[in-house]
Amino acid sequence: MKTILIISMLIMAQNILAEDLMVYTSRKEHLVKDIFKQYQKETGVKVNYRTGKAGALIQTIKGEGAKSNADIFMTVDAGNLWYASTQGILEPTRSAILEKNIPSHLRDLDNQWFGLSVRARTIAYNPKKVKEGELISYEDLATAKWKGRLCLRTSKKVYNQSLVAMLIDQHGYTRTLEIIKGWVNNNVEIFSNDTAVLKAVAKGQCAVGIVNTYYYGRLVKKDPKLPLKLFWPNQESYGVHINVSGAGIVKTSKNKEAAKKFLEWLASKNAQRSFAQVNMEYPIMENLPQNNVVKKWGEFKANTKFNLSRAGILQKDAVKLMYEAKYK
Amino acid sequence: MPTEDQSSWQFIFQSVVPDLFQNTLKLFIFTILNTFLLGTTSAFFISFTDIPLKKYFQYLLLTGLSIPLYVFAFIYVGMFEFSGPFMSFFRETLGINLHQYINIKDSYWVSLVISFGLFPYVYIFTKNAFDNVGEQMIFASRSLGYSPMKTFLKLILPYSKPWIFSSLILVCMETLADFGAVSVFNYDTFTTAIYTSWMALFSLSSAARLSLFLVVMALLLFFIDSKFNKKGTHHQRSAKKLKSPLFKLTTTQKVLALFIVGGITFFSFFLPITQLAFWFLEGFKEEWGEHYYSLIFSTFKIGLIASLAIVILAFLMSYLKNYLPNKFNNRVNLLSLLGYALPGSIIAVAVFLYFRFFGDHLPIFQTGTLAVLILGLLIRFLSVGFRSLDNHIGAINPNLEKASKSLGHGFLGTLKRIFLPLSSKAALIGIVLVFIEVIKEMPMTLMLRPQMENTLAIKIFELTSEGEWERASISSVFLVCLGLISVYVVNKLSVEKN
Repeated sequence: MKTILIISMLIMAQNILAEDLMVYTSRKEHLVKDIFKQYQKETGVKVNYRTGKAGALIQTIKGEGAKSNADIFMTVDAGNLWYASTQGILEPTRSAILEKNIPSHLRDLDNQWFGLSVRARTIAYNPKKVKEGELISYEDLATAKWKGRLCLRTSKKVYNQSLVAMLIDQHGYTRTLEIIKGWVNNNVEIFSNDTAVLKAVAKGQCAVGIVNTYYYGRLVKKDPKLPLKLFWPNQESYGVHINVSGAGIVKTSKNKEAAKKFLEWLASKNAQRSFAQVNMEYPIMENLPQNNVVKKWGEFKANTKFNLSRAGILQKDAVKLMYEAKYK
Repeated sequence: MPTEDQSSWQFIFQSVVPDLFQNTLKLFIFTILNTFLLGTTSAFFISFTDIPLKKYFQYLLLTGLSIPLYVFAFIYVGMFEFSGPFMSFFRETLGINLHQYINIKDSYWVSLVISFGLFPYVYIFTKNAFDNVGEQMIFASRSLGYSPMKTFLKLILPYSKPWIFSSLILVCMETLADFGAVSVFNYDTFTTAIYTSWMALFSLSSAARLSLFLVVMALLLFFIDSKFNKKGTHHQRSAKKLKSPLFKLTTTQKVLALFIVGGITFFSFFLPITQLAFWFLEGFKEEWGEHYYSLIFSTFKIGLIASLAIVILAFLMSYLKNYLPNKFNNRVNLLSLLGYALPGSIIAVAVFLYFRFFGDHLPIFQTGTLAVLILGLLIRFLSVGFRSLDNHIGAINPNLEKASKSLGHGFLGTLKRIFLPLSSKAALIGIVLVFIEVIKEMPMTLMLRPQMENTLAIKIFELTSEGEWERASISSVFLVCLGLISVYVVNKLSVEKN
């Protein structure tokens, strides 16, 4: 009797363990920990995670092969997600909920990955240094009136590679090269992160910079008096460049059903509220109430024509183009 | 190689590589010059003059080692770029736009910041060499009519040259392998290009080829060191330290000396640590939590296991090399030390792929276990342990070994009777030096660590890559504290050694 009890308990324990999920993620621990805990609280399923750089994690999953205990791969930027999908580590997932909640331009053409939060890469400016109506578009920053007034993050950051990939998709290689050369010729100053770009704009080293919205949110939250504002470019044309953080189910996962449920939960109204909020991002679905800070930045037209998989496909070209334009 | 990879490689080779050589060369030249000046000057004042507060300075000059190079970089960039507090102060209060003169992202300034982080290696090697000259030789020189200056230039410097040279090679290796610091400056070197090829061009084969450049350069450095840098003839004497300093400084000279050495410690320690302290106060409330205990524990655990493993292996290698010096041994030694010039992420990938294969047969070496991480760290830092031991073991008088052999003691007997007792202190120093390096290591630990196990260095990486300097400073401060304790131990041990 005793043995049976122990064995049945062990089996039960096994079942509970099998329910656990393992997420390999390049998102930083402090941005995902709480949301994973929330899932555990609501469903009882524990979400373990392993953090690292996107490229290294993809190699790890590839390397571990069938032995991998990764169920979900989660990262930021469509370029990284696209790369994961080309490495054969993600499983196409059919889910009515995911397809309904996530607009098609924010997920993989083959449903290998799904965007889970949206960030806009837009223009931040110093109101003391920029006249009303002066700002128009990404392309316009290449004109001579911005000489000595432009700050950018390094071209090595994937966010800029995706932005330039979008421009190549829009204008073709030659025209985009002209635009980027125009940026560089405006004596652009280069920084290693978005926060540094914002600080430079606030201090008047330059008048404008291109940054992700949440970096602006974090900095202004710390110091609300900074002379910094957001501008939504290209409203008359294709709209602001947006990107996602997202995830996909790993091909070798032994827990695909549970993994799918977790992704569906992440794309649900309830989870979206906190998932986007924790990093001051935008929820994946339209018409979901936004967090107050983000709401204050105003409504904008986003580029919804550009399927984010293209950002990955064109990334190589973007890197070469920026090198050619001497954008460091 | 698939054709797409081929085109990526062509692009990298033709357009990127020439710039990389130029950048790396510039960085090398400036860093060698800077660390040489900083290291030998400070060693000179500590070893041969009666500079006030010497007791404190000889420790303070080492403290920079406790600050990881990438932390150094983000502190200095944060302070000295246009929007930083230093430049803002000059601009807004004094009306001087210093930015036109100091562009912190230019190669010279990049090198200077890196040099403040790395010069302690040159300092410690040089100081040991200086102290090893011993009073007998200096007395002899003085009684033959050489002035103190002449003694220093004609006797002490030539005698110490091999060690200074070795430390400069070490500095080059560190510079070659650095990724974290140069990427904060957005300064392109081979390591940043490796990362771009892999992550932006998706070409692992191009990344591998670029790593080969690093390996070749590291081999070249080793070759130069072993071919042109003969230190075999010096053997440890019972070198007594000088009782009275070689140079007695006048009051003016003392002030000048204080200004120089104080300036060096200011930039290599006090300034960065002050910035960290400010951030610490700002970020503590938001960031501190109980999970920091486990971060500190993991950091300590991994550091300790790795440094013990490394020093044991380094000891055996050095002993074999000196006991059975033959060509084969030397080559094996050379190869095994290469890891130091390779970026951690590259070694991590190699180790990982290798053990994916072995993991099937040896469960302890399954990827994601502590054993694999330790092995990776071993490849990366063996050189540090080996150098600190080999300098010492190589200097053990061979007559002792011959005597032991002639008394009938074999390999093990000689090991036990001569080498172990004579190098136990050097081994301890080696352990602590390796420990300092291991706890600062980031890219490899990030990739190979066991699941859910985090270290302070990883926390720093996670927060700084989001631009959260204040919150990252919590981990930085703990890391620096661990490092400071270690530096203190090293200093204590090496003072006792004399």
